[in-house]
Amino acid sequence: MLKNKTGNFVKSKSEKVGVSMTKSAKVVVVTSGKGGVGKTTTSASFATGLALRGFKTVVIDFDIGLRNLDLIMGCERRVVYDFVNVIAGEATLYQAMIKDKSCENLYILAASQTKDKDALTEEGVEKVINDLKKEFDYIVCDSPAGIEKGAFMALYFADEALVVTNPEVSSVRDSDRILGILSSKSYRAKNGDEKVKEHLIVTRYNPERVENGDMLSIDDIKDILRIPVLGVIPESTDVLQASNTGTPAVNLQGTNVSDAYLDLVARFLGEDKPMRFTNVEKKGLMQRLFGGK
Amino acid sequence: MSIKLHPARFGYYILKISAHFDMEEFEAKMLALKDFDEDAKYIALELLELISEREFQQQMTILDETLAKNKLFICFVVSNPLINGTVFCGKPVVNVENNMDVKNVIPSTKMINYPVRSGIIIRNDGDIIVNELVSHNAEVISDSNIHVYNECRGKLIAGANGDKNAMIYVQRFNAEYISIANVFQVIEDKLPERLLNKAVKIFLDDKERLNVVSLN
Ligand SMILES: Nc1ncnc2c1ncn2[C@@H]1O[C@H](COP(=O)(O)OP(=O)(O)OP(=O)(O)O)[C@@H](O)[C@H]1O
Ligand SMILES: [Mg+2]
Repeated sequence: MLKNKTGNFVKSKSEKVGVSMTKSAKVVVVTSGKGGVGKTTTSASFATGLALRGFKTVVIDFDIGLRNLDLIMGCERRVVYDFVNVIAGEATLYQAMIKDKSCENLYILAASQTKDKDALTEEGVEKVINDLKKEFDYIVCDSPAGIEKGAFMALYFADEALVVTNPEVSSVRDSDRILGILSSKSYRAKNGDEKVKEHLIVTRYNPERVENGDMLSIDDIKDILRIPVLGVIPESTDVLQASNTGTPAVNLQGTNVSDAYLDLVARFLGEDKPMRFTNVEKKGLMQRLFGGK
Repeated sequence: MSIKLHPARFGYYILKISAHFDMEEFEAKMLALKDFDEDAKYIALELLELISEREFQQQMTILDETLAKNKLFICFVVSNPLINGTVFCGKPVVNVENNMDVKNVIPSTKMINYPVRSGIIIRNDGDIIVNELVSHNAEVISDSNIHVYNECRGKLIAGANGDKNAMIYVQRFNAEYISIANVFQVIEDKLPERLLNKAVKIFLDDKERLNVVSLN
């Protein structure tokens, strides 16, 4: 029931009427199971990409105890209050949210280096996410590795999931495990809602090594996980350079990594983009003779 | 007008349940009961775990609501050493003869239409039918038969309660562990070409050895 201006109850036609009055924010978790596969790199570039498209976006670091999203976003000096402070009621969301230095619609909620992961309570996280939903179009949750509390809280309220994997067996197996958790233990699974939408992202992909048989191919990975591939990010030294300068890799205009992340965001928004950077570049005669990249 | 008394039989089904039961399984069971006996009406509840009245009250409410939807209702709670008093969550507690032959008459089939991922366990006392991939390290456990109409790379355990006649059918066989009536085989090495990713049937022979036979 809704109340009209005079305070009388008016009949709402359906629940949906009430829901569409608030912003229909989406919670997207970036998760993997295995550590060091590129979750934080992807969270930063994905959130930036959405913001560049005009969506008001916030990216939350769930890796309590190991701040690093703020480093990659280049805002570590501006962290005064963090996610845990907000949950503990020691700071308001507005005090803790950091506006990105270069991108208009982008905000960062950093993780605490000092608190332990038990600081993340289900009620606390839910409250923060619900408050953010009123203001933002997208809430991107950068999950820690593993399947412990932090990773669990990061995925619990997700509407969609970007499952990040590297082209090797152990990483793919861990992603399978995370997919199982998403489909059985997330809020949506527990409440019988429509299931969490799953997207696969293969990072650090090296077509030469795949061709040599040292790494799994996209088809091998698809055969194991059987979910649609949203993007393939090539292995590149540009990523290290980006993180050293405190800027998300997607901002390194003209690089393969940046293009791959921009394509990924476009596909996420429903655009049709062919996969790039998945095949070995055949070098032309001139390049072979004179080097080149 | 005369008054006559006729003896009447009071038929009921005993629902044995643990304190934290799986709602989905419970609903499936009740539907199966209605399939089996559409006139079924009375349910006697038997608790398998020690739990306080206060703690169980919420579950009782859920049970009552779900049962009512199926035109079933709990007429009493079976007395057992875990319960003292004559009323439990608003239901009378009744002594039922111990020697009653209670058989699990209606194991229902469980149908799985999503991939069974690594770390997930699917369990059922009736058959299990899986229509999607069973991943490495996923487990499908049935007291009865298992059918996988897809590829299986995980663990399949049929006849988990000791039923030696249980069977396993797999469309694309690449399992890492198979077991029937506790006779098991860990499959560590690559399967021979005639079985790998082939449609197979798995059963126990009369010497209680596991047999994997290609269906092609
Ligand atoms: N496409 C890429 N090419 C080369 N290196 C990459 C790429 N993506 C990520 N890396 C590097 O891999 C390392 C791990 O990346 P990142 O921190 O994003 O992973 P993570 O999954 O968030 O790790 P953790 O599990 O510790 O949170 C970093 O050193 C990063 O620079
Ligand atoms: Mg990280």
